[in-house]
Amino acid sequence: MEDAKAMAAVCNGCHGPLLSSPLSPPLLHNQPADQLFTKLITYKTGQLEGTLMNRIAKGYSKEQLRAIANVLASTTSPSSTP
Amino acid sequence: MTDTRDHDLSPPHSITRRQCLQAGLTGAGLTALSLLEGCTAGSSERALTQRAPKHSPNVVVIGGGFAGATCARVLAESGVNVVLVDPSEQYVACPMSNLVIASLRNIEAQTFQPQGFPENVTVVRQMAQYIDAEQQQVTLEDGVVLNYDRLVLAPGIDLRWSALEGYDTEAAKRMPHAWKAGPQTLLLRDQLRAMPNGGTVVMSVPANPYRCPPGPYERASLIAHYLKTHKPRSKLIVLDAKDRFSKQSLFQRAWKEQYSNLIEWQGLSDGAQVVRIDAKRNTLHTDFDEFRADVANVIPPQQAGSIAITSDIADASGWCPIQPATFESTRVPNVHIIGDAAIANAMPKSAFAANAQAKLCAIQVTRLLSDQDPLSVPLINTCYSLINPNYGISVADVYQPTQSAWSPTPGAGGVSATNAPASHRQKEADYAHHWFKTITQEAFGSTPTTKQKERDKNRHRNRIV
Ligand SMILES: Cc1cc2nc3c(=O)[nH]c(=O)nc-3n(C[C@H](O)[C@H](O)[C@H](O)COP(=O)(O)OP(=O)(O)OC[C@H]3O[C@@H](n4cnc5c(N)ncnc54)[C@H](O)[C@@H]3O)c2cc1C
Ligand code: HEC
Repeated sequence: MEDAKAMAAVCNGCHGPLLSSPLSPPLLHNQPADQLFTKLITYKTGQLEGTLMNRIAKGYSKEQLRAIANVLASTTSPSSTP
Repeated sequence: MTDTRDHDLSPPHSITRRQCLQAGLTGAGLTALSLLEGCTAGSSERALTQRAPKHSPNVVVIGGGFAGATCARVLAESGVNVVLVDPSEQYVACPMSNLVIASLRNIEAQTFQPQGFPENVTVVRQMAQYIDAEQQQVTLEDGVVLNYDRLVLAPGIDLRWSALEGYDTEAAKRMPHAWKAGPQTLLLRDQLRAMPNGGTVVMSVPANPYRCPPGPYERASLIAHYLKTHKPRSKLIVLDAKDRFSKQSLFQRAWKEQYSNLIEWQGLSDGAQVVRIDAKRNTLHTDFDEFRADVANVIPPQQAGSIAITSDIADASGWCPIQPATFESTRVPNVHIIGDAAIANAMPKSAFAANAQAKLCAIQVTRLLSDQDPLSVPLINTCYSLINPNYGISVADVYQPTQSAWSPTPGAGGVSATNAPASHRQKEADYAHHWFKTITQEAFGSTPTTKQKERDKNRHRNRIV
C-alpha cells in the first residue's frame, strides 16, 4: 500500500487532479479502479497505442499496476500526494 | 533534539527579528527552529498556540526549486517540521524558457512567487553557506545556525566558470548561456531580435552530464523557428562536444523537415567541441576552426550548486553521489540530495525528475525519521521538447533503484514514435504545457499570473522570516 502510494504520486505530474482541460491527458481520479487497471493493461500490452502511456505502463508489473489503480481510484481530494 | 520552547522563549512580539536570529547563535538549548517559529512577524500568536508536538523531528531543505519546494511540501504534509532555505522571493523556471528566447512566450509566464506552503514549513530567505554534517548543522549567510535531524539538499546547478577557456561571468554578458532562466534568457532573446537577417547564430553544447539533456536541441529548434519566421536568410550552427544526444533521430528528422537549411549540427567527431571562447570578438574556437557569431549562446560545463562542493558533499566529478532508493549521500549521513545536484545515474537532470525524486525522498525521509524501512519503488522521468509550438516530442523512462544505481527498466521507455501523425505531435505539445502548469503548481503553489494582492495575502499567511 505504501509502495503503491509512492508509485502513484509520480503519475500526477501529468494526471494531477488540480488542473484539467481538453488539452490535458485524461483525468484518472474520477475513474473506478477496474477501469483504470484495464486501460493500463491495454497500454502495457500495446492493444491501445497512445502518445506515451505505452512506454510508461511497460515499466510496471501487472501487480504494481493493479495496486496503483487502486490508490488512484480511492483518491478523492486533490492533493500532490494521493 | 531537546525542545525547551515552553520555558525559555520570551514573548515573540517583544523582540525584533534581528535579535531573535542573533539569539539563535547563542541561546543555549534553543533550537533554531523553535526560535524561528516564535519570531514570525504578524503570526506570533498562532505560532505560539500551534506548536508542533515535542520532539517532532526537524528537517532543513536547502533550495526551493523544483526539487526542494516540492519536497518541503510533501514532508510537511506528513507532519514533519520543515525549514526551507532559499534566498529568492521569486523563482524563474527553465522549462519552456526556450519559447521566451524564440519570442513565443513572455518571461512572466516563467516567473513564480512560491507560496501556500503548509503551516509547518518555515521559509528562510537566506543563502545556506556551509553544511556541517557531523554536527548536523547548516550555517546561513547571516551567521544563523540551523540544526537538523535530516537535511535535504537541492541547490540545482552552478556553472563552471572558466572551465571552458575564456568563458567567465563577463563573457556571459556578451555571449549568454541562458542556462539559468532570468536576465540571461532575455539577453539571448534580445540579441536574436537585434540581429540582422542573414546573421549567424552559434550555439556551444557541453559534454554530459548537464542540466536538461534535450534542452540545447529544443533551443536550437525554437531559435530556428524564430529565424525561419523573422530572419529567413540567417543560419544556426550547433557545435556539440558529443556525438550522440537525447531524441537525436527525432530532432534531426524534424530539423530536416521543418528547417531544412537553417540548422547545421556538428558533433565531437567532426571536431566541433568548443575549447576556447573569445568574448571580445564574439568567437568560438574548436581545435580546428573558429566561428565568428552574430549571436552566440554558450552552454558551459556545470556542477552541483556550490554549497555541495564547499561542504564536500559532491565528489571529484562535481556532483553528489547518493544511495539510489533513499537519495542519502554516500559521503555523509543524514543528508539527502535530490534534483540536478544528485548523481541519479540514468535519470536525467530534469524538472520532471527533480519533482519525482522530491516526492519519493520526502516519503523516505519521513520513514527513516520514524525508524521504518525505506521503500524500494520505481520512478518516472519524461522530458517533452518542442520542435515548434505545435510539434512536441518526448522521451520517457521508468527507473528502478538497484543497490548502486537508478537504472532504466528493460522493455519500457523510449522516445515518441518516428512516424507519429501530426495530431500526436500537436498533443505532445499540449501535454508539455499541461505538465509545466501542473508541476509548477505543485512546487510553487501558484500560477505565474497570480496577482500582487493575492501574493501579499499569502505572504502573511505563511511564515517567512
Ligand atoms: C533551457 C532549459 C530548458 C529546460 N526544459 C526542461 C523541460 O522541458 N523539462 C524538464 O523536466 N526540465 C527542463 N529543464 C531542467 C530543469 O530546469 C532543471 O532540471 C530543474 O530546474 C532542476 O531542479 P532543482 O530543484 O534541482 O534545481 P533548481 O530548479 O535550479 O533550484 C535550485 C534552487 O536552490 C537555490 N539554492 C542554490 N544554492 C542555495 C544555497 N546555498 N542556499 C539556499 N538556496 C540555494 C536556488 O536559488 C534555486 O532556487 C530545462 C532547463 C533548461 C536550462
Ligand atoms: C508524462 C506524462 C504522463 C505520465 C508521467 C503518466 N501518464 Fe498516464 N497518460 C498520459 C497520456 C498522455 C495519456 C493518454 C494516452 C497517450 O497519449 O499515451 C495517459 C493515459 C493514461 C491512462 C488511460 C486513461 C483513460 O481514461 O484513457 C491511465 C489509466 C494512465 N495514463 C495511468 C497512469 C499512471 C498509473 C501513471 C503513473 C504510473 C501515469 N499514467 C503516468 C500521460 C502520462
